[in-house]
Amino acid sequence: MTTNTAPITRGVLRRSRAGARLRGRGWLTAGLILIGLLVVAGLVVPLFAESPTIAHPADALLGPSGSHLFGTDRYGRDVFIRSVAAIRIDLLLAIVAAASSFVLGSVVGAISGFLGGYVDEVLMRITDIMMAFPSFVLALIVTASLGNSTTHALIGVAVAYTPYFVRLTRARALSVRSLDYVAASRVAKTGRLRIAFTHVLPNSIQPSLVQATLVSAWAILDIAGLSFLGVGVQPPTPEWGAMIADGYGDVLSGQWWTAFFPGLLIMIAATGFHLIGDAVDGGME
Amino acid sequence: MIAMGRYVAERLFTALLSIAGIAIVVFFVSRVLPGDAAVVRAGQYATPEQIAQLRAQFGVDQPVLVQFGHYLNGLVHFDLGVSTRTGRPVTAELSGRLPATLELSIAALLVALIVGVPLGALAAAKRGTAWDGLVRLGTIIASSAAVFWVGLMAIYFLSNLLHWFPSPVDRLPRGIDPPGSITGMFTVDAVLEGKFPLAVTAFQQLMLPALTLGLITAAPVVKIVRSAMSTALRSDYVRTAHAFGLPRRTVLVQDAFRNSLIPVVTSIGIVAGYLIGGNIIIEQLFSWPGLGQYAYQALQEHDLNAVQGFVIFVGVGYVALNFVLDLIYASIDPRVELRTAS
Repeated sequence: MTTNTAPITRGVLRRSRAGARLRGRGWLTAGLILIGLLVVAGLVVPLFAESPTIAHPADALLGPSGSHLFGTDRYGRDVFIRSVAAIRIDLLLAIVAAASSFVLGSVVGAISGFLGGYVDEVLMRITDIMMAFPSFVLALIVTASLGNSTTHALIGVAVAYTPYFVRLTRARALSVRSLDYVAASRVAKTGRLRIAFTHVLPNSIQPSLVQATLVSAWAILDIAGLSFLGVGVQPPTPEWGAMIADGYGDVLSGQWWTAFFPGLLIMIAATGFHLIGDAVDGGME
Repeated sequence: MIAMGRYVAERLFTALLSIAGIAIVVFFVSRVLPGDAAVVRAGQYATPEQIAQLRAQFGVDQPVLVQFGHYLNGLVHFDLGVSTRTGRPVTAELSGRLPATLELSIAALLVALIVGVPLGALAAAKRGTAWDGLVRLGTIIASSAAVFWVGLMAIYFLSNLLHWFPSPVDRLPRGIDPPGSITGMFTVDAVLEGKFPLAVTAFQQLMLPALTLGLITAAPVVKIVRSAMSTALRSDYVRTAHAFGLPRRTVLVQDAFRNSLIPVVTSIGIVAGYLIGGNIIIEQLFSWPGLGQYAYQALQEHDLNAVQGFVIFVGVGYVALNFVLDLIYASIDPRVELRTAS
């Protein structure tokens, strides 16, 4: 019996490792292709299309067809042109928001973890309080408090995800600071903040990089969610969430395409970032 | 037992500290709010005197520290002030809307667990196979869908077009009286009062928003169960069970699955976060008169006290939930107790 089970267990393990590696690579490629396609479409298509904000009242609410691939909205604007034009805005906002929280969170986390003491205590309490709120709720409160606008939605989302990076970087910084090269720096009388930035920070951001791709996916959803609720990107700027809010009434009366396609693009973009994040995460496991 | 008591005391202290922190931060952050409730309430043609009078009435003309004193005094007495929009006490309004949100959240949580736990277990048991890949891909796509988009499409395709679900008007169709309020959750109350047709009607209204929210929330549940069960499958006790020649099915269910349910308890804290965030949008979409809808309307009209009240409600609720989950965790996993006692 025992001689029987051992090879089976080993077989299972070997298969799962190989599978994970293979899938990791496949998923990474798929994610990069999705995001790549969106970026290319977002950059190229608007060059050949008319402005996404010009209204054509005569062509209002036409269904998807050869001349209007995704149909038109209530102002006669082409949903395809608007959905594709929104790629630039949505991807840019999501990436900038994720990058901002990454930078801010990593710096605060490295300082907090490396300095320790009161600084660490205070920063951690603030982080805890922020994490007592679901990130979308936090983003909504910050954005609405500052006033409805694109920039404020960006700030709101960036603030909401900063605590994640603070925690991750701090945890790594705690282990890095006891390593030999940090001790060597200390012996050489290097300043504490200097050590924090030149040794601790660069050596503790790796897990945060994985987190940053996942946060980009969440940021896509949050930016669109804020704009859907009317506190983020304002119409007539083409933005996926705002377009869905715009088409809301028309969907209920049967013109489903006004909101269907922008939502589909949200899903494609977020799936792309999720695939990349998941693959990179699995590779590091 | 002493260790357990000490653990509870420690956790309680941390929880109270967090709540105090939330209260202080919320007060000072909400002073940043640029909109002036008095100006909004007074309307377009108000004279400066009228606005000043309203400001005095709302208490926003006093020094910040005096306002802070009133605020703290109120909090201790569960008084969150008066809504500048409706003129009613915020505490009463929030607790009046709490059952609607709880009913929707609990239903969505059940959907998420019923769908998420088996799928997560399946993915872990078949780790590395096509099944695993399929479940993970499904999870990724589900967590990439915008909840308001899924909800809107569900309303159009499933309710308007196919008539599988009633129109998303409210908790009950127009003209139907709600049951008496025992718990405030219509489906539960109707059953308790023996009004089964009413319970069915309320349940039908609840289904679509709960399914929408629940299916999207199932994604994190799948992830947590999969990773917990994978860890369990790699553990020494599962290897030992295999070595004893126990059938694969027995090992999977009795050893791996049951042990991986422990992390699921704490994961409810994470899932609750998704539910609260999703609620704001889903309630708006389905005209569900809960906390999320209230918060959104309050934000739109710079109703300072109402926003403050909501944020404190959510923050305190979240801290309390995590406190309770920590205790459950400690009581089912004896290792937690040992760790804090030493």
